[in-house]
Amino acid sequence: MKKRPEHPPIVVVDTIRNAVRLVALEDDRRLSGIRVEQTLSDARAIHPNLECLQYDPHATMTLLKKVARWCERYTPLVSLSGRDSLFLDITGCSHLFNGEKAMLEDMFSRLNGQGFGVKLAIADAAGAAWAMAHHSSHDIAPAKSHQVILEPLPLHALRLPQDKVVELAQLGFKTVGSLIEVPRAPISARFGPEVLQRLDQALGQEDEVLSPFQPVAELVYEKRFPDPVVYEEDIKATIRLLAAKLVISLEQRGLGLRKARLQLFRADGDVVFLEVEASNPRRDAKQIAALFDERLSKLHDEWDAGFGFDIIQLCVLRSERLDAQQEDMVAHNHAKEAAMHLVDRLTARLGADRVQVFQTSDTHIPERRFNLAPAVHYAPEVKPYERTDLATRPVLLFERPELADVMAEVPEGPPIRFRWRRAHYEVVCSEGPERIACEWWRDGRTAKTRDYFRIETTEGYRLWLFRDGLYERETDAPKWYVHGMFA
Amino acid sequence: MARRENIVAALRQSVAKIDGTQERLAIQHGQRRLRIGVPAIDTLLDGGLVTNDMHELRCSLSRDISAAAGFLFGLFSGLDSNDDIAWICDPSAVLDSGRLFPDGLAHFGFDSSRLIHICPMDFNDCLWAAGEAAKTSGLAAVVLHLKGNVKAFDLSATRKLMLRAQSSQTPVFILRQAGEEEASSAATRWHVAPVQAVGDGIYNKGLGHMRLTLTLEKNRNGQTGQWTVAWNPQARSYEHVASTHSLLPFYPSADRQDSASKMGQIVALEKAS
Repeated sequence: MKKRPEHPPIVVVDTIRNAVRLVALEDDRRLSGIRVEQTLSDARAIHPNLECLQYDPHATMTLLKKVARWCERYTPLVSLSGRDSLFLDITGCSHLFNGEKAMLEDMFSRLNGQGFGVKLAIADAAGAAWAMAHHSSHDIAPAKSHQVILEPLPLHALRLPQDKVVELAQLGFKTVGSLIEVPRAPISARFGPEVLQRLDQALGQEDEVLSPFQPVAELVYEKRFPDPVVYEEDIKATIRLLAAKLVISLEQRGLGLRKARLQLFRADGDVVFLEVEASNPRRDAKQIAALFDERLSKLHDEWDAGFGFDIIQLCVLRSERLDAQQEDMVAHNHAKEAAMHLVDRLTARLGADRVQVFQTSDTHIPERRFNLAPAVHYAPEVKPYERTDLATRPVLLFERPELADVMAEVPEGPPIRFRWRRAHYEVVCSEGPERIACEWWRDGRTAKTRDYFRIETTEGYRLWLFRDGLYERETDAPKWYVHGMFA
Repeated sequence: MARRENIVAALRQSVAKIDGTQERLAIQHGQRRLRIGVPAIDTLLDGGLVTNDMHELRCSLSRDISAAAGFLFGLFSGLDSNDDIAWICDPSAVLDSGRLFPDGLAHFGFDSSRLIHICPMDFNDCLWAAGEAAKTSGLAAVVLHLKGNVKAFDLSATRKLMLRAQSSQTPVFILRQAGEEEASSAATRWHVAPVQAVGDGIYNKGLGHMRLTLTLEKNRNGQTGQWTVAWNPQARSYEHVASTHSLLPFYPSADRQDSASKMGQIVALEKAS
């Protein structure tokens, strides 16, 4: 947190071990004698004029994730650790920022400029970097020499649980160095494998797997701007530029793009995401850029460019094999190709769940006969209809059957008159019942059998009604529903 | 010989100019037509609906929408292309009408895997999607299913859609559910209402085939008219039937309380405050 000299110092508190304790405090000279984990009453005794804020783990995590996204400007491999740390795998990235020292300085000044107080460290192993950032004043460990830096650090630096640290301390192990010297077998036998595992990870003798916070892109192209860009035309031009570069790489690998993400890094630390999908693998710069254009024009009113974007990244999240010959063959079916382009453009702007195709499934329950699936993910399946009595199915089906007040001559007979949507209907003729049994393996034993009737009213409306439940066997007062409309 | 033909053609042109039917002549030569199957209607439309234009189908009440949708799918069986059809529906229309049911569409010989079902969040997105679809030349048809008379869908919006349909050669259909007559740029506007089909020749006791009263309310290039047609699923086309109006002209409610008012009408509600 940045200093606010004219205000009382800020501390963040939370209830820990039945007392209100400090969780974090401002980096302020006035707060001498006050430390983390102190109870609030003790802290108030030293410094009565404290501004207290309640610790909100959810908000802290959200903020940390935002910072993690922002850190993707340095490397695509960013992972979260605990509630206050981030690991950045900068293997092969530092030369892009003129070396590790310059990279660290850049990161520090940018984060500090956003108002964060940060501690940064670079080491060969993730565990060592964590220990240095939390418990040491060193920031860059020279290659293969971090053991020297780690040795004087307290055991907390090994990311061990609190009770293990206390136990070890009671036996006289207070620093990392004291653990390195003693034989390994007794420690492992007494404290479990975790202690030595953490030690090895910190010393770089064991590999630590970092799981990235976001799925790692297959290909990333980025453009950095010395002055942030604000205008939509500039962003669109950048997308075209990046797409043109991307297409060359895709061509070399024989791939086509299916899903891509645009990351716009705002100069003040926010990151804006745009994801687009294509129904077929695409390898045409114009088409790829067009997908983003639709999204951008839709977002036009909603987003806020702030002070502008200083990095624009284009990431390929999913790609598929796309051979050059295949492209020629597809060109034959011009109409289908045009329709797929339409699906892509509509999906880019409206969302995948708004542009759908019908899929049929093998069931007799009418509302489960079909479902609508995103058109970008599923090519429509061509399934020949095996049914012969198609005339008994309506053109339009209600997603939820609508309740109707029905009068029937006999309880099990067809309806004679009914009221539906506040209107009264007289039945002129009816066909049925067509009995559709419930799917007990999905709905359980209480599900009811439906008797469907096709009826025609005096006005010529042809409707599909059903009685929910067999009379007397399943229910005493069966309800009637209107489920569809015939043409 | 050739000279004589030229003279005849020139004469035809000048007669057409006087008649105001020049557009019709031009159309007769190059354009594809979507036949309805009823000779009376097809001759009136010079062979059927023009496929590279916009047509409007409307029904007066929400519950008539199945008749209008049925008529449209009957028309689709006459399309000569097997390409996809973009079906764009206004979210407010879907609430009343329900969803298209693939099994029921198969009755019209329609394969539902051809449908691209687009259901945007609001009507402005619907219009945009319809415009994009109308620009695409690889579609068999574009349908915009909307409810009532929407303000955003005015004369200029329909004209934009019509021009796109003409340039891309894709037929665009406006399916207006529970809507009034409204000035639009559509080539034709049809009013569809269901008619009772009892006593059909084949099914004496059961339900007959789809039977509709079609009213051609607007025809850019000719006359209007009204017909009662029935769907013939064997021939997959419409046929003309004698207009038999409802068997019961009166509501049998003499000794009962009055029936509820029809849907889509304004009901006086109590004031909220």
